[in-house]
Amino acid sequence: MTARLTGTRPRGILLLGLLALEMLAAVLVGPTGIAPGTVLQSLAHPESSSVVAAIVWQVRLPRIIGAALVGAALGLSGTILQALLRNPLADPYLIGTSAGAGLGATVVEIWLPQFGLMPVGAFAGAALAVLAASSASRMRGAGSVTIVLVGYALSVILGAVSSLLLAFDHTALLSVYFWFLGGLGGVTWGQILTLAVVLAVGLALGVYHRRELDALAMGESQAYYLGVDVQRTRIVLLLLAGLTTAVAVAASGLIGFVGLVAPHVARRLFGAAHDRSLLASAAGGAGFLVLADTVARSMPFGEVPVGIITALIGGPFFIWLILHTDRRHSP
Amino acid sequence: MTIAAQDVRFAYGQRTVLGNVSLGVTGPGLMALCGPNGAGKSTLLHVLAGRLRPQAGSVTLDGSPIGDLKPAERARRVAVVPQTVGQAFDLTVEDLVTLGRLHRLSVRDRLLLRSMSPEDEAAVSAALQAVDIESLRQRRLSQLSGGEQARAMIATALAQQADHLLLDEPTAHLDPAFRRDILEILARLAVSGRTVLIVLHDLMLAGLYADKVALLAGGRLEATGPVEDVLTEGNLTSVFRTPLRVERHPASGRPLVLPG
Repeated sequence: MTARLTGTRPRGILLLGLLALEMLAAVLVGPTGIAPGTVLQSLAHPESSSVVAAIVWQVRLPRIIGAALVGAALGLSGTILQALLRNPLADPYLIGTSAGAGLGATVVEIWLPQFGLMPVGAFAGAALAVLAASSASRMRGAGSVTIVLVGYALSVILGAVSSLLLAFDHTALLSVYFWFLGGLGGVTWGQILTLAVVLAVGLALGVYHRRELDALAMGESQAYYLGVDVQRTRIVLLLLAGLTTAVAVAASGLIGFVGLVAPHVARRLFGAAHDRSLLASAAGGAGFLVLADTVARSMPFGEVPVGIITALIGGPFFIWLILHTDRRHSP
Repeated sequence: MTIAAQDVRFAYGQRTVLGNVSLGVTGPGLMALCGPNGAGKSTLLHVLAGRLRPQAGSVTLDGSPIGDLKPAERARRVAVVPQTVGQAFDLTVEDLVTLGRLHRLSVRDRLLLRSMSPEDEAAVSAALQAVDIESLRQRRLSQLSGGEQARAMIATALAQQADHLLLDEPTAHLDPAFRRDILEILARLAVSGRTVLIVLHDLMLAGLYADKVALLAGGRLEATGPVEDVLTEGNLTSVFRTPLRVERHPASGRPLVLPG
């Protein structure tokens, strides 16, 4: 035990340190070309009314903190989904959870736009989609790739339904379409608060169930014999994956592959057991999305949606994983 | 220390796998569950362990219905070793065996990210020691041989410290030497007070190590009792539909099943 902690703790601290440094570096980057010294100064003086302070505190910081929180939420969701579906190819974007959240949010935007219920709609959609994908994964003989294909089909169907609804409602189309593309530019301090609260609850619940995640990753029978309340735990964790995906989607639209890449990197660095890889995956997701967003807004020809950057990195990784996923992984 | 099935009937859809099976597994001791392919041995094991609910009949653990036990309570009293390691991710041996302590994880340990209490640590070490894989503690499962993986799975079940240990043919894919080692380990556990039930294809091993044998064929229990009474030429030839000879082992005097 102690031997394990001495091995893991420094690496964990190093990871968090790197994340903090990365976020700090990201604050220094921006199209207005403010000198690093000036930015750092205004960081220390949030009460200042200067233009620089406004840029740092109202534009850059919410965006970077938002990216970190969304990335962490997606990393957490991906870890849970990969364990529960027993599938190293699972990702909330690839198996339709994000599209479910998108559809739920679209429905709310069209019919109940005035009450600020979009995150609730996103959660309802994500929860239904994740339960559907998990039922597919429990069918006899469904291998890893089959599950991802079913999830992808689900994602396409849900996306098509969203588009169909939007085709009839041009007011909602404008607000929803750009949000769908995925971007962290519009993240507000209010959304950051929601993200932080949900992420804290999600991490606590994930840590609480970390051993159950290990057990369920070995199969439901195995988990049952180890004393896991399989039905209850599955539902709690699937809803948790849905919830973290939903708040991420509500804040920043559909961003893919963060939930796929982060758990793999975390397992590689910290081992497969969730008492280490779960938190590392959240931190890794945060680091990945902050980096991708910084790249997305530093393009010489202007900003591109961050989902493009994550897809350009995550997509090839996904193909590599499919080709290298050993048959042993097929449940 | 008894798991008892009473008039159990189990079917997958229309296909009846077990018809009116009654079997008491009483310990301490090592009972082998034998029978031809498709006899329903694994199904009976999973019914006895509470994972499969029979359509008729009952399964009780020391008198109370096994289905009524809370998951953690059940895992504290019955441990099961599956046929294969169903790992999706590559845990270390220590991570795997520590899962045997999952049912005892307290809320405090869960929230403090503490994986093991000193008792857990002791149970894990004892389990690794019992199957002689302490040196493999930090190895990943993918780096182990089939025999070592089987030992790690048994260690996980041992870490549960349950009185009942049920094994679903853990030796099926192993070399003869490994199979004997595993049976030696199980026989020692039985002597030390556990109730062990093992699904076993290998009749020779059953004869050499089991205290009791249950013979299953076509979803019915054909014979059950002390090894000498069950492993007879008459019983075996009728159950396996092929001539089998039973001799005495020259050293131990135990039944030695040979092709007839």
